[in-house]
Amino acid sequence: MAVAALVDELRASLSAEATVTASATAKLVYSRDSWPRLSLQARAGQRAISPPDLVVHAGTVADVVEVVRAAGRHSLPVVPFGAGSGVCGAAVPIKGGISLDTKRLLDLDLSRAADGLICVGAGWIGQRLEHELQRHGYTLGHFPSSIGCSTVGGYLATRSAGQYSTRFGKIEDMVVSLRFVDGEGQLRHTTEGPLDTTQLLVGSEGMLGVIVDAWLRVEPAATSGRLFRGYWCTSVSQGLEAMRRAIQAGHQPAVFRLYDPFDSFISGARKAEEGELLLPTDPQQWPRKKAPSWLPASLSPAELKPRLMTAANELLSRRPSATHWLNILASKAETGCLLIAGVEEASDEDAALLGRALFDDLGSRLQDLGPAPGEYWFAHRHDVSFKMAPILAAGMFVDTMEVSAPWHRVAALYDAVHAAVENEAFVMAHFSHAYTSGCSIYFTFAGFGADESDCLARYDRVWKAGLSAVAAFGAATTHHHGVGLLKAAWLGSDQPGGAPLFAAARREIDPAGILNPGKLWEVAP
Amino acid sequence: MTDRWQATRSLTPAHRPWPIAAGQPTLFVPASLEALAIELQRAPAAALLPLGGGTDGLATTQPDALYQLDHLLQPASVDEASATLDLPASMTWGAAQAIATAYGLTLTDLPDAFADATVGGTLARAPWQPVLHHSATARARCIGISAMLLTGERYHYKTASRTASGPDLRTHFLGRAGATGPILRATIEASREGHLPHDLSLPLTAASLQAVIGLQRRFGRALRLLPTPAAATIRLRLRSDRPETALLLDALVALGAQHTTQLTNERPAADRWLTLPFAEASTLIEATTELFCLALGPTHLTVALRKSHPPIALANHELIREGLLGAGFTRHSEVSQ
Ligand SMILES: Cc1cc2nc3c(=O)[nH]c(=O)nc-3n(C[C@H](O)[C@H](O)[C@H](O)COP(=O)(O)OP(=O)(O)OC[C@H]3O[C@@H](n4cnc5c(N)ncnc54)[C@H](O)[C@@H]3O)c2cc1C
Ligand SMILES: Cc1cc2nc3c(=O)[nH]c(=O)nc-3n(C[C@H](O)[C@H](O)[C@H](O)COP(=O)(O)OP(=O)(O)OC[C@H]3O[C@@H](n4cnc5c(N)ncnc54)[C@H](O)[C@@H]3O)c2cc1C
Repeated sequence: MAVAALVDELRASLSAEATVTASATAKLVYSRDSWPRLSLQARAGQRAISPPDLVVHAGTVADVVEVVRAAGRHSLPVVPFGAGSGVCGAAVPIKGGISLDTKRLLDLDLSRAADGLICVGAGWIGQRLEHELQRHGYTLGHFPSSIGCSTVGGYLATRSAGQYSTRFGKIEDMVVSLRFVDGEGQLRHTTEGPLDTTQLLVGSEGMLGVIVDAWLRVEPAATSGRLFRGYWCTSVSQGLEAMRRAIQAGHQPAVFRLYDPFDSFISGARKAEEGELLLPTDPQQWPRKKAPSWLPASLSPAELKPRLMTAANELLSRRPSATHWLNILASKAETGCLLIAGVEEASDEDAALLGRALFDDLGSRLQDLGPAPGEYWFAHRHDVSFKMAPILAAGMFVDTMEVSAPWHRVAALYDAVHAAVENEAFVMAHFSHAYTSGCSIYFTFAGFGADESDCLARYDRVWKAGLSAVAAFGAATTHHHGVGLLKAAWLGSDQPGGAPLFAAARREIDPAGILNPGKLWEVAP
Repeated sequence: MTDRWQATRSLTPAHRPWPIAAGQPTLFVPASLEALAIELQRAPAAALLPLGGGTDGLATTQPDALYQLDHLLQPASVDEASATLDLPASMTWGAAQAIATAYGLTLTDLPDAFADATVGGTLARAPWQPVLHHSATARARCIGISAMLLTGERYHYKTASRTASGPDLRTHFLGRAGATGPILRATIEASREGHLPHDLSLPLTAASLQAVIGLQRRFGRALRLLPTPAAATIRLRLRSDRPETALLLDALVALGAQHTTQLTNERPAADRWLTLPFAEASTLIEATTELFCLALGPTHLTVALRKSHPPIALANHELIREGLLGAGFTRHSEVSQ
């Protein structure tokens, strides 16, 4: 099929708001999402896995219908594309075809907002939607770190979670129903048949339909009813126990985050005084395998800080053994762990009452640090995700791994993943998204290789070792970043035996298999 | 049926979820899960269904045979720290609650009527919960299942609290009334006993329906609104997309319900609305989460706090009282709790 002919065909049939292009720039841009591995590949000079044949910005729901039908006629894949902030390669058009950008689907029906429901087009960027809702006195309560660069369609398609998920739930808890265009170009509503298929479409990563709009729950917006408190825990286990007890006692804080010792240290909760260096100043003399016997069993913040600064700089200059050394230092930190709790309610009174109950509960078990750590977190809550670029630019790899487990396994899972990856990368973590029965662990890891291909190989080994450890624990290999190409091999661990069920759903909704082919259960194990 | 199965006993009426006695299905007892798998592959779809507690009452298709599962399933286990119960599907909620109690846990958010219903039967009938009722349903508490496909293959949705591992393939079994294969086990989130409120409730009179809706909106996550028997009428929304709606409508009209007009701009527009006396409706309201229940004003409401921690319950109690009075509610002293 001549792409040029299809471009003409679509231009003639789509609305005036739509655009159709097969330009080299568009193809390059839409050939990838924000999966760090793709950045490593690009840095190594490798070309995109596979660019799309053309890119369409649908202007209306009818455009989406038309594009899917045209793709069907030409047997071309259609890959829905939100804002490309996905971090697992889900929107990469590995079989070419049409990248279908849904950002222009911007309908917004607030007529039932007073009943706690809105209908929103898939294209809304989270931040803009939230502004618009707050202007009318409502909030969706969905605040992912990527809120400025991700869409409602993307959230739904990947089962996204925001930073306030403990209070508002994940996106799958917020959605009531949605409309989507199936693989045959039919516009469908998930509650139109005898069975509600909403949760089948949620998380389908573009394979079971192009989501065009959704009914979501909203709540009255908080104007000023936001309170934070920081707590100091002697260990990860103590912090986890305090979180578990509070959640199971019925508290529902908006923010609940426990940082491991190293993450606590660098999160700036305790300002360490500069101390004298006990380490050899020359990093060449640093040990390569085990902690040296002359290093104290634990390091105070003042002792730790200068060593960490040196080690971090050495990591950025890719000094061999720097990752290992950072892990050792982190394990020696006697800084304890920082727990941040925050409530956000529509009114000051609500926040004060709920906050008092929560803070009294936590304060009875942990050392109260006052509001400062939480307020600091709030002011900088989106910063951390955007610190990856300089690390990648320094020739390193960096990524995040978000997993979840029942409470009784969380601490052990943390240790297991740490142990699995610490020889390849520096790793730290925080615990958030708490539920009655468990919570998620968010690992950040960084490292480097002898050269670009070694760097990629090491990056892959870290993921494999980390997720294998998670799978061996029976924990969930992905909590909110979705699956994409990165985690497809572990789907069978999270939902063993799911392949025939997914295939059946696919046959019913997209018999020709044109929607984002080759992802999720279609990735060869 | 084959020699792998033996008919053990005939079904008592209590075990027949079908409204019309068109004939008695046979009860079979598979010797093993493997034997069950073979039979499922042979049987025409929906001819062979799992035996539950028989409390459904709205099932429309009657199978040729039912099969028993309980002897094939491992006993229940409890994860105390995570407050979850891993239950065989054939267990009744009554039995599940007894186990939960022994561990200081509770499932009491579930309706009392569930005592004889089984875990599997409930999930097999559970729809995705509608917006306002999401926290108390068995479906919402189910964080994992193990099931068998009609091909005999097995499926597990593992018991982490939440995942982002693609579509929720439990959809294949939940609400399918056993026609897609049996649910074998379920992991259910419980609450911690002792943290439940001592039924802090607040009798109130609503000035208007809007006030009730406002209340649901504001406190929907934190409380249940229970219209009290003193209230005269209840308005129900029956979802037109449910297969049992027609049956239910007939039953309700026989009970004295009257058709009424739609209240708000609900979606889907074809939903059916009814008004009927509370006394007759109460069982039905409890009976299915597919009904939206809105009390009409002026109306007596009992506000029952769902929050489990006494300080929170108390805090909410205050909030609610103030919020309600501000929203046009008045105290109604005659309504007992
Ligand atoms: C800096 C940064 C921070 C992040 N923080 C978070 C966080 O806090 N929480 C979190 O959950 N995630 C986070 N992410 C990941 C990412 O933002 C989410 O996965 C997000 O949901 C993706 O949305 P998107 O619109 O960019 O989708 P895309 O990346 O464009 O697409 C993701 C998948 O969804 C499908 N899709 C997109 N739109 C549609 C549609 N309309 N219909 C059907 N399928 C569609 C695509 O085909 C693809 O499979 C972060 C990412 C970055 C880069
Ligand atoms: C007084 C009363 C009050 C009720 N209150 C409520 C209420 O508050 N909320 C509510 O939702 N319902 C309520 N119901 C309806 C009924 O209790 C539920 O539908 C119940 O969950 C059915 O469970 P069961 O074990 O009795 O299933 P059954 O009636 O035995 O079976 C229902 C269907 O599920 C199938 N099934 C049974 N076990 C399995 C399994 N393991 N795997 C797959 N399929 C299976 C059966 O084959 C059958 O098709 C009430 C009923 C009564 C009589």
